[in-house]
Amino acid sequence: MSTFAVAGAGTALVAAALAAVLLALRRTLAPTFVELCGERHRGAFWARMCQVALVAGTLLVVLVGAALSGSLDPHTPALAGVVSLLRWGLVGLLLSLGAVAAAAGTFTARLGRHAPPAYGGGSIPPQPPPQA
Amino acid sequence: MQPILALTAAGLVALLATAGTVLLLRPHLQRLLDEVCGTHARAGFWVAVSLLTIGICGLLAGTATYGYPSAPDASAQDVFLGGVTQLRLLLVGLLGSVLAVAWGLVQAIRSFERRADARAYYQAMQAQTPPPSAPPASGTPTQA
Repeated sequence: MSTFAVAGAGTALVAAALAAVLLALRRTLAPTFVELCGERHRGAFWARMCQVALVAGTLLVVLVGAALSGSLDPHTPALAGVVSLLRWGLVGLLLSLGAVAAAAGTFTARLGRHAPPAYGGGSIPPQPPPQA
Repeated sequence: MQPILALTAAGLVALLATAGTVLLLRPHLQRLLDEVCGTHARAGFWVAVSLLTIGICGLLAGTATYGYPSAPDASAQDVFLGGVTQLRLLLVGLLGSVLAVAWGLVQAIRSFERRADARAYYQAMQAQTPPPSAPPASGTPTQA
């Protein structure tokens, strides 16, 4: 199996993992940022920004990791090279997802200080004060 | 036994175990985060992030090639032990990611309960009735 085939197979697996993550976040990312930003166009912008960051961050980690670990070395067994590329892709996905989650968490906490959402229930629901 | 075959077989087991964990946790996590986050959009986002974290960590740990022998003429026992090491790392990764998500949930629930206490206190102040307790300060337990 040539280096090009290993690189192609690894890239295809990373692209599949990336597509799965973007698909899982597709329906929830935009509404969350619309809620945090207050305006639909601002939320759409930041959601798109997060998607770009996820893709770019993952690909960057794959490229750097493949160069560092010698995944595309001709002496590396083909399957080991493909698995190595996939693992670097998963590391990149995890880091990028962490960055997006940290940004969303920071702004959720900031919004919660100014405009807490209406809580309908909970493990400790607000109790009516006792009558004097 | 070829190390590549063992790696593939253990990788498939890792995939199944990770998918099972995610499917098992999903409905319960959704209900809990719906309650804690307050809005459906936020809950959906955090459910997706939590489950993706568990899934990625499980796959990452479950595809580790750490325990396999590098010599091409390795015995079947060495290859088998390499597979066992791979599955052991899978369990460590899954357990670690589930514990990390659980720790985040506990923090979110504590914050939620502080907000609920504070809201009850200020509602009582607005209604000019005796408050149920002092407003909760961060890190100090409330007096009954």
